[in-house]
Amino acid sequence: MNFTRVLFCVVSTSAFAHTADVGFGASADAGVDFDPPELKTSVEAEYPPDALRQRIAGSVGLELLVNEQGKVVDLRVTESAGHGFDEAASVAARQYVFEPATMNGVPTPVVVKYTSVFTPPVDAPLVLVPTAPMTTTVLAQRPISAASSFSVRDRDFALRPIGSVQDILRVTPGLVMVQHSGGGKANQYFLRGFDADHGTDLAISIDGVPINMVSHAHGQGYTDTNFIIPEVVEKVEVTKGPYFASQGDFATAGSVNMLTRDDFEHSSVGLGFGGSPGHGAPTYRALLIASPKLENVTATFAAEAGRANGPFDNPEQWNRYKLFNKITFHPTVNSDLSITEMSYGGDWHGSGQIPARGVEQGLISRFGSIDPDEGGDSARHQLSVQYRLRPTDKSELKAMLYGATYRFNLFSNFTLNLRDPDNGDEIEQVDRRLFYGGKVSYRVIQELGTWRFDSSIGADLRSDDIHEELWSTVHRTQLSTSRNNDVHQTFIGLYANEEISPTRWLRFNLGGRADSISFGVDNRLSSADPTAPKSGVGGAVQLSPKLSAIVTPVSLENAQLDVYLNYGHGFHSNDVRGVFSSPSVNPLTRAIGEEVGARTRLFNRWDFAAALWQLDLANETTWSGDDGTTGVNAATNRYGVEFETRFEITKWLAADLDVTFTKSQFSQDRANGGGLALAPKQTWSGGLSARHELGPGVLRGGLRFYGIGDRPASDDGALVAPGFTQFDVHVGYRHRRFDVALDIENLLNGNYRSAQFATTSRLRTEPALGSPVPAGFNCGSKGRLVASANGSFAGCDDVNFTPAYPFTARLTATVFLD
Amino acid sequence: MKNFVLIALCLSGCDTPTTGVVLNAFTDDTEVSKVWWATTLFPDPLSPGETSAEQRLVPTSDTAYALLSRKGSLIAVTSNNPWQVARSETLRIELAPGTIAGDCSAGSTLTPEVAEVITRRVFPSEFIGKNYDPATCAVTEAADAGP
Repeated sequence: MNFTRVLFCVVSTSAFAHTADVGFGASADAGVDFDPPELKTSVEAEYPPDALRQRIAGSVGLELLVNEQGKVVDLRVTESAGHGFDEAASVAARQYVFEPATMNGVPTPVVVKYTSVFTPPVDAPLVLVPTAPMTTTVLAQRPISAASSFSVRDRDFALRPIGSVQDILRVTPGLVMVQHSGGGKANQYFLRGFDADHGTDLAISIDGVPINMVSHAHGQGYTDTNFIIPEVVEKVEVTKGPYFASQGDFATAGSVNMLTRDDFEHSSVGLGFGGSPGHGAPTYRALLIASPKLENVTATFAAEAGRANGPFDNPEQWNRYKLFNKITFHPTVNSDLSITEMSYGGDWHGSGQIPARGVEQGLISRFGSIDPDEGGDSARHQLSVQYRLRPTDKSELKAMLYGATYRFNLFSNFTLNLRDPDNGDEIEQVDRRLFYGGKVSYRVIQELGTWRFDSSIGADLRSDDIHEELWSTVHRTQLSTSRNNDVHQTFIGLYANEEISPTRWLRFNLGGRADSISFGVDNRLSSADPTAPKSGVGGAVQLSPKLSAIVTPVSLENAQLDVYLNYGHGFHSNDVRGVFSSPSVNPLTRAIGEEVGARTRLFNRWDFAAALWQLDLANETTWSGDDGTTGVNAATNRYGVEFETRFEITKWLAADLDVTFTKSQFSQDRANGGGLALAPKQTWSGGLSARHELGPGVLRGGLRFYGIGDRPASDDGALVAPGFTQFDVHVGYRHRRFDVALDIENLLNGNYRSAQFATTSRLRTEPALGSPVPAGFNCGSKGRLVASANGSFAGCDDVNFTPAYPFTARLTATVFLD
Repeated sequence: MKNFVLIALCLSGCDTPTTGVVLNAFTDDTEVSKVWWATTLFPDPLSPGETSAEQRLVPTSDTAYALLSRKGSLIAVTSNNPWQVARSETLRIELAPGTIAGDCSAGSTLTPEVAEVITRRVFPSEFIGKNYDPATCAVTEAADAGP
């Protein structure tokens, strides 16, 4: 017995919303003959293995809806404990059977308040499972095959400034994201030496539904998370490296899967207001959450509307709405089914990436814009169905289907007045698509003597029907088109994984996956542009083996150590239009990774993990959606070390620090030392997090920082993208009836640059292309002149950047409605 | 209540973009072909008395460059003084004989350097293969300059 329980009872008529705070055995109303329910059959909750291994204690507050037959027909968590306790307590509580309560002798539904207390026994055997993604609570152990794999619950990221989903993703150690050219556009992601542009080497999904867009008009793997309401994210699962059989396209540097809530503790209305004093215009946001307590069904509805402007001289006017609808029910006692719908629509103006010399020369401020017409609009609507069946307590079947529509129009101007000195270089990228797919997996645990076998098999399917265009525009008016393609592509992936544990201190993970892509491209333009993709059909297959070994040499009460060795192949797909362009590209780029890592926990309060990793990419191929051409680069090699630590200073105060060092280079020296533009070299993040009872509520706070070191903006390293360290603050207070939060972004008001690129561009008043370079002309103090063979002017190579937000405050007030 | 009203006004109006228009204030048959100010092109020709479509701007101060068309001839001009616009306001660039320099018929000429900026950098397509004389506002074929 790993835990004890304390049972309280509260009586109501039939629904959670009408709960009355009455002690166990008391009458609901004077004069009414009320007999409280009596627990007949209880089931012991399974101690979450992560928490058991780390000897974490916790207590979960539950409210159980017990019907006239004494069965638990619904429940909700009223006090979350994290670490998997909520799920474990809920699974057990659903199996309780009561002698039904009666009122005047008639059985009546009641609400039972219940606290499940988990206390790890001192002599509990150590479970050889370190922190790992916990996607199931029935299966006691979840394989862990890399030091750099873990999950984070909302309890943890609630202590951070959360203004968007991007802020939630920052819980990933080593993942740095920066804002990029207007709030409605996808962020820039940096992980493990990758400038993943908008997501090319980082697979991001929500409830397993992929967010990365293949063959996207703006860039391969474009990952726009703006359609997600941050509050609906309950948990984040993170993997790093290509070692996980269940991870397919884009999961070369890593993967992030966000899991949404089934319900909320309270229905609520929230209002947020913020801005950057002295810059820009206010930002505001409204959020409605309805979480009705229904019999046998868990339902949640959330709606967000808002307008964001940012600190920019050209206000973003980012108008947006988001919807989240989810219902979950249990077709049988050992299965659950969820149906989730998400919608988003938004339009905005962006300030683009401005040339550093334009700011330096006083043409615009650092929050200014060269082309105020940049921006666009986007919409996404998706529906997914998730099914989970637990045939036995040692097996699990999961299946999901999804379908989504997507619309995207983006106006950008990267080269300013270089290519078209008359109208300017503004372009419009158009993407319309319908994509759909599904996943199915089966997992079973078997034991033969002391040997334990954890077997998983699965399959993925994804299909995209895409129409995309590229236009030259002026003031958002289309002038001419240079790309007009219909693309259809389908992925099929099969995988298997076998985790073998011959002893308590040793595990092996053998796995692999086979992926197939088939595609067709229809070029609808009749132009003779030699760089335009041709029409055609094609396909490719890749096999990706995975192998891991996990050793636990130390397993003491106050010291645990796990050492990992990983090897695996993975891939990212390329824009299939590039297959029919010149030069052509392979549709799949293989990645091969190796990693050795260790994770330890000392004195039950200090976690430390380190990983030494390497990743080889077959080629650094990119589709440049901005000019509609394919860039083929040589093979690359990345290696680095990562350190993560968490320290529980007191029960209410914790500190954490993550640091990464990475070397990224072309595998063959290209006479520049193998330099690779924009690859992050060092990243860091950390902070202090606190949560403490204060009066009738709980006070919480976090002082966070994150940053990235200087990195080369160009392959030759002549242009440098300066790094930064930004400090953020979160303070909040939660009461039974309300919640208030104050977020401060960029506490020290640093003048940082977010997204940065080395771009050859031309301001309108700079020399005409092909003309002699005037004496004394320069491209700013950090830019460099680009000259043609005859010495005439061909543009300025300069760092174009999007400024980081200055000191920004955001106040959010939420009122709970039940 | 006062604060509430202020906040409401701010919410609805503080993020009004900075914009601008060009007004052709000539009274003769001078057409304004194109105008460039700071970071924004006003591409559409304007007849006398006509106002351009409103364009988004960034708040700054800068000289306006324009091409005038009179009787089929192009005239490169600049504004006499920088035009300035503050955030959320609308700039009204009024092009008239009194606000521009470079109109030779009015006795105003540009320096060769400024004429070079306008004809070779800001509005190059109109002067491809041509030379512009700022002293006379005459446009000649480049071939006339000789082999």
